[in-house]
Parts: sequence; structure tokens; C-alpha cells
Amino acid sequence: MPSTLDGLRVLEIGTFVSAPYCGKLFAGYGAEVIKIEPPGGDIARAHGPFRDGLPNPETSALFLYLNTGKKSVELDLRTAAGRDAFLRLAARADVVVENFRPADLRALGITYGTIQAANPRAVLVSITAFGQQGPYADYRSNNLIAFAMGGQMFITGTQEGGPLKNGGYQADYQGGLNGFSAAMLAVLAAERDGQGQHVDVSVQHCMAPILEAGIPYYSYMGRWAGVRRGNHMASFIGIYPCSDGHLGIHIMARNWKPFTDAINRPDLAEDPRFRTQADRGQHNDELMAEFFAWAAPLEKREIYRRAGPSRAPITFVHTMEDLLDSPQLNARGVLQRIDHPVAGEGVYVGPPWWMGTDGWSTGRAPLLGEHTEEVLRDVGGLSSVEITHLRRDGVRT
Amino acid sequence: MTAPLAGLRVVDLTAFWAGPFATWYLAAMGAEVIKIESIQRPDGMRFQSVHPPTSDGWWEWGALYHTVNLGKRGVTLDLTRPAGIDILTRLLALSDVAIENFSPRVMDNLGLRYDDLAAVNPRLIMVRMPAFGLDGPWRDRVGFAQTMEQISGMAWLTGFPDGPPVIPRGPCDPLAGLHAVTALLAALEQRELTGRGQLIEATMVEAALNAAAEIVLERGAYGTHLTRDGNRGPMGAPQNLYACRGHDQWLALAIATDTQWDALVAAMGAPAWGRDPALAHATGRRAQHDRIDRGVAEWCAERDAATLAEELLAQGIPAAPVVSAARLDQNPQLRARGFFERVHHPMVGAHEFPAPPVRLASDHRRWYERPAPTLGQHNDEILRELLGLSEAALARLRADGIIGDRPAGA
Repeated sequence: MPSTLDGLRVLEIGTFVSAPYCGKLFAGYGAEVIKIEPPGGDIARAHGPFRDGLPNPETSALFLYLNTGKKSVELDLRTAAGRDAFLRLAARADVVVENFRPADLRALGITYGTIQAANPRAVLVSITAFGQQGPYADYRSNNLIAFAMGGQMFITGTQEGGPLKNGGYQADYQGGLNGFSAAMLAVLAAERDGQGQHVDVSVQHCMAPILEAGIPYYSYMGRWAGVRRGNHMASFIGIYPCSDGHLGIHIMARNWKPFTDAINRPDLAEDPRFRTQADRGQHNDELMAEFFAWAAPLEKREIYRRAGPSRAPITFVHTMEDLLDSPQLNARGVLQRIDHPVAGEGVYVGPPWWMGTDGWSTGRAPLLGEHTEEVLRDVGGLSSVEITHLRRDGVRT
Repeated sequence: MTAPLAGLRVVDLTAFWAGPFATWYLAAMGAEVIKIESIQRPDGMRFQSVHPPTSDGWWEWGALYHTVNLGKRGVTLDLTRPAGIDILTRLLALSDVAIENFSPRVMDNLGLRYDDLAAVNPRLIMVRMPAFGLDGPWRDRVGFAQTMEQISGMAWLTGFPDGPPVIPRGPCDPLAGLHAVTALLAALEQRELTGRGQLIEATMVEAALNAAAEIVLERGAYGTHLTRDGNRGPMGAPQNLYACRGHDQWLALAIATDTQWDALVAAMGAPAWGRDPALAHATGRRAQHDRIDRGVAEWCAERDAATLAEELLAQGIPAAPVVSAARLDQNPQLRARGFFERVHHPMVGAHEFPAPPVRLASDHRRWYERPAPTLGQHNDEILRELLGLSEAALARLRADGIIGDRPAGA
């Protein structure tokens, strides 16, 4: 059975997280993804941690995860020969994904127009900090800036401690994910109309609509209740320290009875202060004190097991060990082992979804320039003489 | 101009946020989305209302409900009774996509199995969005966004080094929704070739995990113990927030290169501490991050965050004011991009709602053809148009409470 996107060819001239996550999703669905790396490689290759703690462009965990199943071509787009080779590859591609600052891509002499001239059906997906137009379009950004500009940071953390960014690279992942969806819409349109187009994704814009109702609420009420509330949206929605970590509870109105049953606290169930969700809100501090005392002596895995599949939403904050040991993730085959010639075998998170007819491609990440010669010859149609010249001028193989 | 998903009919059985976020995107891209609720069980998001449950019509005042259900039409059907299931099955026979985010057992209990539905309509794509999966030991557990944030490692990595893990407020519902959309779009592409739909299982936990997954590999392969680092990060030095003039005003600053550092020192008026050669390179700045934080904090304390950010950005320094989540409407870049679209809702009037974060050059429509539906708003229209039900049949369904436009008991 062919893979879902079998036959689709994607060129990625992207670095770090956003465009590479977009490319990774394409590769996972079975598309051929050719990653064009600048001399020295994607900057994610310099992002630790590395195997044995020693910096090595082939063992960055971030890079290895984000580039599974791709081919790597090392090409210097700043040279005329490198740019020419890129356009010859673009002529044979369905999608080009990039995440340059708009001014930086223009400086390379690459625009939607040059790609369109080489291939009218090609879809160009640009994933940038602020989008292609507007007053910030060419401003520099990175992870922290994306969280600050998108509003997410303002609602995370405590009032006293100040705004807090999410751990990891959420904002860039959102950019990659939105880039993939929009690229697929454009691919479907190209099949219908025979015409590619330029797709413009802004990471700031990706973050803004995913906030919990801040915008319409403010507009309706002229004020906003969404202050930073740290780990407690209310006493019954939040995190409590336990003996070996942190428990999380999330109790909607109908979960209260199953919850008090699961933790064996009929006294709480019968307490008139806590009868309805409104009562519980009214006596929030008292209930919070009860929960702190309840959680303190517990062991996280034990209480999680006891809660079982009853409608008692108890969970616990997973450390990396908890993730790797997770009975659910292991039972579903989400954690997959992939070998790599330099980094060795690692546990990778598998597909974000499962489809009925075929699987997720789990090829390893490429070595820097591993496929330069093969791709330039077989896809770009370059002769061995041309490749020799390129090797001297615009590429290392 | 043809909308990207024009002609695609989606029967939307989802509720709360993750599922409706997926169909919000589809509706914005031109799909015809028919949202199914019931008067017995309206979408739970209606209960997060800006009006108290004592006021009439409170279920039509959910700010988040209005946002994630833009562009959809609404039908109520009591799926616990055969008449409701019968109508739903007939709608599915005429549709391209069915999507749901119930607990896994619900669809089976309703007798809505993919194989049976596909036998009637082989082109149907069915997207199921359980919290933890259709199988495995946690199959029947309840999961909310915060559950996923706690399980995926996101909460573990969010917070200050000397404090507890912190809930990162909300990204997991949209992450799950949009990952489900990616799978659906890939299935549409495959249907172009095969002519057949398929079953897609897009779980909330696996979507969340995919967007934090490098940490699993870092720990599993290299044994690296990652810790919380507040607002600092491995790619910038200095990188942090600095309190500015006024209440709750902050400047975010993340210096990624030595050139940017030099520009920052110049912008600060080249103070002696900033010119220290020990700080000229990232390694030195990282080693003395606390000292730099004190200097920058002092410089920021009496300045205006937004003005400062504009000045620094113009000099090529990555900086930002921490933008208030409620006042994104004032952000000049989002304004210029057309982030907001004004939509009139019959109860709340005209308000601005966020648009999808992508622009397709070929598509210049308005994103939203209509506001979020009121409960059961399109019962007659859809059941008459698509299924040819008579006035008498509609009246009977209404009398029996199979359809309706007020929550039962409200």
C-alpha cells in the first residue's frame, strides 16, 4: 500500500524548528522531503544536548527529531551556482517550505516569482515570525519573542512572578503545523486549478487565536478576568505537590462525585460548602487547603492507577522518565526506536495520528549533505561535471 | 474565487475546544460544517458563558463557543433515540467527513462504526479524536488540555528553576485540533487517487507530545536531565523579561549573536559594565547572565516597554513587549495582517474575532460566512434541504424533543 502522500516532493530550505516540523510531517506522510542545508548545516545541529555531551552536528536531539525521514543536500544559496541548482530542484518539486526573514530570502534572489518561473505548479510556503507584510515583517524574532508577541506568555505564570514562556518551542511548532495544513490546501488547489501559489504563515498570528477566549471576552465585557493564575485556575483545576512529584486535577461539575469516590472522601462529597461547582468556587481557599493536605502524602503513580478510568480527572506531571515508562504510550507504539549511524539508537515520539490504510514513515534524520550528489543528479538532472563545479563553488558533498 | 475546501461537507459531532478548533479551521477554509448538538446535551463550551445561568438565553453567550464555532451551521439531534440516529446516519451518507471527540465508547454505543458507515458511503473520511486513543490501558480516561500539558512534559519544562512545574495555559486543544486537520487533508489528497475515505485516529495526547517530543529523545538517548529555566533559553544570552514602567509591563529580550549584543550595549548608551570584554561572546554572557540581568533591568525600569521594543527591533535586536492576551487587537502587526474579522452575532452584536494564521494568495474571501450557530438554529433549513423532511415531520421531531432550540430544562 503506498503511503498517503507518496509521489509528492517537498523542498525544505528551513532551519531550526518551524519549517523543519512542517517538512517532518510531510516526510511522515510519505512525501519525499529534500532538506537543503547551508554550508555547516541547519543551526538546529548546534543545539544541545548531544550524545555524550560532546557537540557534534550529527547528534543534536532537536535536529534528529525534527528531520526524520528527510534527505539532506548541502548547498550554498548565496552563490549563483547554488541558487541555480536550487531552482532546478524547485522545478521538480510540488512544495517549497522556507522560514527565512522576508528580507533575507529576497537577498538570496529567491522569491515566489522566481520559483513560479521555474515551476508554475509549485506551492511556496513561507513560515516567518510576523508574516510577509506589515510593520514588523522584517523584525528579528526567536522563541521568547514569539511567546511575548503572541499573547500566550501574558497568561502563563503568576501575577507576582511575571509572565512566563512555555518550556520548549511551542510557538515554532505551531508555525510548522499551520504551514503544513496550508500547504496541503494549496496542493489540493493546485491539483484542481493547475496553479501553485504563495502561502504566508505568521508565527505571531499562529499563537494569537489559540488563547483561551481572551479576545472576544474582552470585547463583550470591556474587561478581562484572565489574570495569570499560576497553577490554579480554581481550587479544583490545578496542580498540587505530592510526595514524589505533582498531581493534577481538573474537576468539572459532573466529575465531583466520581472524584470524591475515587479518593475515598465521602466527607468532601457531603460537605455543604462544596456541594455545587458554584459552592466550590465560593469556598475556593478552603477547598484548596483540603487538596494540598490530600495530595501531600500520595505517590503519583499509585493515585493515578487508583483513579483508573472512573470519571475522576486526576493526572500527574510527567517527568521524562514517566513519559518513557508510560504504559499507555508504550501500549500504543507511540514511542519508537530509530537507529542512527552517529547518534546511535534513540527513542522517538511517533506519529501524531494513525490512519487506516498505512503507517508513519520512521526513517532517521540525514547526515549533513548525505544525499547531495544523489539528489542533484537524479532530481536536479545535473551532470557529473556540473556537480564537480558546484562542489567547488556552491556545495560540499 | 473558490475557497480551498469549497464543496466539502463535514458533519461535526465534536464539543468543547479541541474538536471544534479543527472544524473551525475547516469552516474558515470554505468547508460546509454542520455542527451537531442536542438540547439534552449542548456543547459543554456553552456553559462557559459570560452570563449567569439564571439569565434567559445564557447558553448563547459563550465567548469561546462563539470563536471556535464561527462559520458553522447548527443542528440539534438527540442521539440517544433511534429517530436522532436515523437522521444523523442519513446526513453522513451525504457527507465527506465525520469528526468526533467523544470518549471512545460513545460512538460504539451509538452504533456508529466506521465500517458500517463506509459500506454506505465509501468516500467518507472519519476523524476520531479521543484523549488517549481508541485502545491501550488509558483508553477510557478523561482528558482536558491541562491533562495533556502535564503528561506531555510541557508542564515539567515550564516554570522557574527554583519553583514548581507550571501549567502552560491552553495550547493543547488547538494542537490536537490542527493535527487532526493535517491528517484529514492528507486523507483528502489520498482520496483524490483512490476514491475512498478512511478512518483517522488523532489523539490529544499524541498531538501534544509531538510538539514537545525532542525532550523525549534527549532524555531517552542521552540521559540528559532537562530543567526548568524560566524565561531563559539555550539559544540566547541574555534572554529574559525585564519589568518596565507602569503596571505589569515587560520587555522580552533575546540576544542570539554577538552583533546583536553590541547593538544592545550601544542602545543602552554603552555603560561601562556592558563594555566588559568578558561579555563580548555568548559563553561569557551566559556565565554572567545574572549580572547582565541586573544591568538591563535597571535600564528598563523607567522606560516604556512598547516604545523600547520598537526602538530595539528597528536596530535589529530581537525584542518585544509582552503583549496582553486581551489587547492583541491593538497590536499594529496583527492589525496590518488582517488578524481580525468583524462578525455579527444575533445575541451579542458585532465583534472582532481572530482569523486563521495563514494567507493563501489565491483566497481573498472573508473567512467567516456566518457567526457561530445558536442552538438548533439550522434544524429546519438543513433537514429540509438535505433530507427533504416535510413540515409535518419537522413538527413531530420538535414535539418529541429530537430537535429543538432551548436546552432541555432551561
